Amino acid sequence: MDTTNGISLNLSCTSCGGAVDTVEGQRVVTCRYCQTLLYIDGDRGVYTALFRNNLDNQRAKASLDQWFDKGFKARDLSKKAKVTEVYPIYLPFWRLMARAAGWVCGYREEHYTDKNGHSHTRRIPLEKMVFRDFEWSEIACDPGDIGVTRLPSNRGQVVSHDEGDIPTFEATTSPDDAKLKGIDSIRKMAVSSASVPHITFEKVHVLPRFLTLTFYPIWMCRYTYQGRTYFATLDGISGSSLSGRAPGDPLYQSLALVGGATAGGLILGLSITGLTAGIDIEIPAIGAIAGLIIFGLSFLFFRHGSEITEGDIDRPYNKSIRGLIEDATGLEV
Amino acid sequence: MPVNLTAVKCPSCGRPITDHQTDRVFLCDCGVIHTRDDDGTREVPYEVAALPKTDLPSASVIYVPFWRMDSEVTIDYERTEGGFFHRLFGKDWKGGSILIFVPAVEWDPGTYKQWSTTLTSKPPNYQRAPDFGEFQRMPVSVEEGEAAQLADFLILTFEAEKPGVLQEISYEVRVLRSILLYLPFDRSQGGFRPLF
Repeated sequence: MDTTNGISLNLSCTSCGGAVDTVEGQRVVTCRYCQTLLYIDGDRGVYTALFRNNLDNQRAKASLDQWFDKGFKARDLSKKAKVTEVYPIYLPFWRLMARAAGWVCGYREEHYTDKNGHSHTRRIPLEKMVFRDFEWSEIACDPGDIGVTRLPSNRGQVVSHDEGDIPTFEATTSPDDAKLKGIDSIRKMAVSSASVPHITFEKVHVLPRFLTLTFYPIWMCRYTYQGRTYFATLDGISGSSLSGRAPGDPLYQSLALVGGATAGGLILGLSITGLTAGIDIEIPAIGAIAGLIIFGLSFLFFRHGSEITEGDIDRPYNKSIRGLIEDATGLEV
Repeated sequence: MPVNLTAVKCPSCGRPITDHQTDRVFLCDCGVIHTRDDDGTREVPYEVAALPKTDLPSASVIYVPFWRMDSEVTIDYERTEGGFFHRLFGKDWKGGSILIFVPAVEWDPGTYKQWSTTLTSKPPNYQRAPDFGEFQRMPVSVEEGEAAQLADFLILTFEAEKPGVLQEISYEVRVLRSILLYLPFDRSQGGFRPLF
């Protein structure tokens, strides 16, 4: 791992007193004056990296204008939006690299119909090895509602210090807590990657490689549209949008409802017709479910499409779906 | 807790270590290898396999460290789908004493599994050398605790790769003693060709 541009600690050699070049997270270092090998005791901190901010105000506004024209946002957004604030910040992210080594055993079920038309289920046993590297990241402070919870990328240019006056948010979670959470998340990712639907046995070891604290440049953009305030965040390295809220368009909402209802209804009707015409039950059943899903999705877009959200922001229809599941099952989702 | 620098010295003879290699262990000129962490310093027992007579230049030869773990494996319960004839006629291992070899270096998963499986299935025969001579050694990047976890994974892999599909297993791997074993490899043609 390249630590040449990490955040440095100021220490002196115990043999000759010379300044020792170290970075946070290093365990052993050689004094360049007397060649003594030195061990770093105590709180070494973690490897810390600061990524260079590549955008300026002009480029950020240009990226924001492009974002206005994408997706199902209000068609006149780029003309009528008034940008009130555009500024960069550094957000801290924990990043853990680890190797997972283990096995996940279980089975999947296969349904089939025999020549007499009876349905049966058979179990196909599975054993899957997981032995590869994983990466986990999470924001190291309270992200509020900005919709950025994971490190956008790790391809930035690492610099030893911020070259401008960009506000930097401090990490509010400890390295030990981050490491434990990262290990647990990676274990779950590893088990999930085995794709065993019904698990009878699982054992996965997670061997951490390194934990870093990365300060990533994010541009915050606030704007108003028809008297309401919205926001967007931009990746300070690539300029792409990361998250945001934007007004929807009533025309798109109406088209979604009409189109979805028509398509869903048509498929549902054809499915029922097929069933009454004696077609095997699987095809009409799949058709009926597809028709209902199409109608359901178009209704949700109509219901909640007045505001478009992107990124890791809790969407209104997520709450609707969660609410439905919670009401039906009595469990908290 | 404040940060302190401590000169790395051999716990046996007290001389400062001058090895510049980034390693999890420190080799002293007196022959002792030790490791250290925030809990303290401890010697690491090790063996160096002697290099058989070879015409290879010394730069082509490298010593690769492996954790050799004397272990006791207990398999209490195992359920497998299929593999009936193997279980009926084959010699099904139910546990016992075993030497487990785990690479102590950062290799890609494929190479890692290949060498740990090969050496554990067929432990190497070697004569001991007194030191590394003029040959280089790869740095240790897997600590003893991690090696024990990988040993557990290796035993589970042996059981899972037997005929049949493993569904459940209850087992335990107890590592009784670990040493670092340095084995010579030829790296002149890319990859690692064993020289033992």
